[in-house]
Amino acid sequence: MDHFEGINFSEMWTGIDAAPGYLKPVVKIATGGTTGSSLAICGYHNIASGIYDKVLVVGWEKLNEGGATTGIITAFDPVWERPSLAGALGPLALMAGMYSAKYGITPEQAAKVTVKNRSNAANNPFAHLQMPDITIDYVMSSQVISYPLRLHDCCPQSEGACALIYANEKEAKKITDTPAWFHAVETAHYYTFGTDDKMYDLPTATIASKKAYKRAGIKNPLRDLDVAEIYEPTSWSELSWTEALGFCKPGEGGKLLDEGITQMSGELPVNPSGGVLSTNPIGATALVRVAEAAIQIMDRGGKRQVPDVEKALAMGFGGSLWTEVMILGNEPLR
Amino acid sequence: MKKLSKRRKSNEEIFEIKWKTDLPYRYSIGKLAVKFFEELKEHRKIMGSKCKKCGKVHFPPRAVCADCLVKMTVDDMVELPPKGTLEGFTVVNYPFTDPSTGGIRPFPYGYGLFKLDGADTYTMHFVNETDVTKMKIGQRVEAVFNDKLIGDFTADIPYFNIIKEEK
Amino acid sequence: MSKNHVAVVGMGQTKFRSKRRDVNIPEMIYEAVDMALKDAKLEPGDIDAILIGNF
Repeated sequence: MDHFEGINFSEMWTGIDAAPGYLKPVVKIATGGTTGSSLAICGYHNIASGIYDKVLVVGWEKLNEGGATTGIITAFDPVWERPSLAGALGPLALMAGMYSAKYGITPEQAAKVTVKNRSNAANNPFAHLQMPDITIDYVMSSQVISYPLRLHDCCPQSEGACALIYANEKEAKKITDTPAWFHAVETAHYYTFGTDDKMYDLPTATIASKKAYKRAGIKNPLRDLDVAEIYEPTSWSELSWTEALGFCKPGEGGKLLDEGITQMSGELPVNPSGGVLSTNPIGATALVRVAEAAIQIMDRGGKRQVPDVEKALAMGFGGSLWTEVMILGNEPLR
Repeated sequence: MKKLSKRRKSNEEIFEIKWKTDLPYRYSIGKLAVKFFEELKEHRKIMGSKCKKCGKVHFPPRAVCADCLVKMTVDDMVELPPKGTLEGFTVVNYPFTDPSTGGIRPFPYGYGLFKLDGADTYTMHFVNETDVTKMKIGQRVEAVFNDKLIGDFTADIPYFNIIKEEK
Repeated sequence: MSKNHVAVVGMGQTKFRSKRRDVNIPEMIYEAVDMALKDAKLEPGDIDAILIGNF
């Protein structure tokens, strides 16, 4: 993982042989944490343009062969940001602290997100951290690694790959009876310096989701969506960003969880796969959100299947606070 | 603390070769950043850039206002006081390799998000405090300058102190 | 959105772990790609274009 291979190894086009890329058009995408969702969206563009009929989209990461925090630091400005930046967790800690102070959110409230997601992960055979017996005490007894983030408020570092095959309408019908159709794909980028604006409420998530909802004909996300796979690098992020995505009012992310709305049995289950808190191979992570949303639409979720899924949301997050939102449905959007 | 992860196989033979890579490189910082460091080094001044169209004051100074797509020059730079207000804080308390030194960055260290007075953008930098109970959003912070200034952001302004200020 | 509808029709995921020292990068990618092609009952030659990425 020297400096996230494929940036320094770009001449080698690592992994292309296995992709299988020989003599085919291949584009490499590297957009930080949003890599997986940028891959998903560019795959959509490739087919929606009418140029290609069937596209393969692959996200992968070998995160533990180098220092993830060290590599992430090198993705930022060498003069102004790198000397003090503590990888991804430093800014996420700042965001969690500001969110906590603004709305009075407690560490116990955040711990409930880890408990939900890592116990959900026990139903997902692919997930990295599967913890059916996890408790709030387990999370709260872990060390504070960057106030207010405890170790178990944070996502793991995982290794693995995710591959999706897309097809246009004509080809899709030959391949499967249950395609998962894209209804909307939206991206919102931010300033080069993520700290230009107060970032804790993730304005890019609000902007991308509003545009996606409009395209997909979603008037009330809580009511109109059946499941959401959101990108939550920390437990606090899920509380805050369910608000940014419009599932509830600002400050009420915890209430949404406490009332059971985002639990598996609730009105809008969030992260039945276990989310990023359970599995984080960065280049694949956001693509796994799309894969899991598609799994829900295709009724292939097994123990983690939410009943009667017609519309699903998938989210990617990364870089200097970019967000990508994708909506999928069980019928083409007409 | 109960470990809830899988057992690792410990009797595998590992084939391993060690090697090291040095990657020297140059990095262009732009005309406004050069002016920033000249003013810092020679006059202990902190400079930002002000968009001539929307009036937004940026720190760090940059040549393009992202909101207006207007280009700024050295003449658009304004002085900012070395004081600001803390908007967010944390104490980083885990080991990681610092890519600029190759060694573990000393921890714990205080890290804050604050706006310099007069700036419209926020900035992150070291804060000289490692006890979170002594940090609070809204505290005033002040830049601490090194005695010798060489034209390097963190060497010349190693951290911000939390200060008590009479209103 | 485009008049051309696009759907996910096949997928593969590796079992995510902390360390995959048993595979190099192409081997790891192959696992997911092979799974996806088998899932969609397609051959490598059926794929028109590839998008690939890591951090």
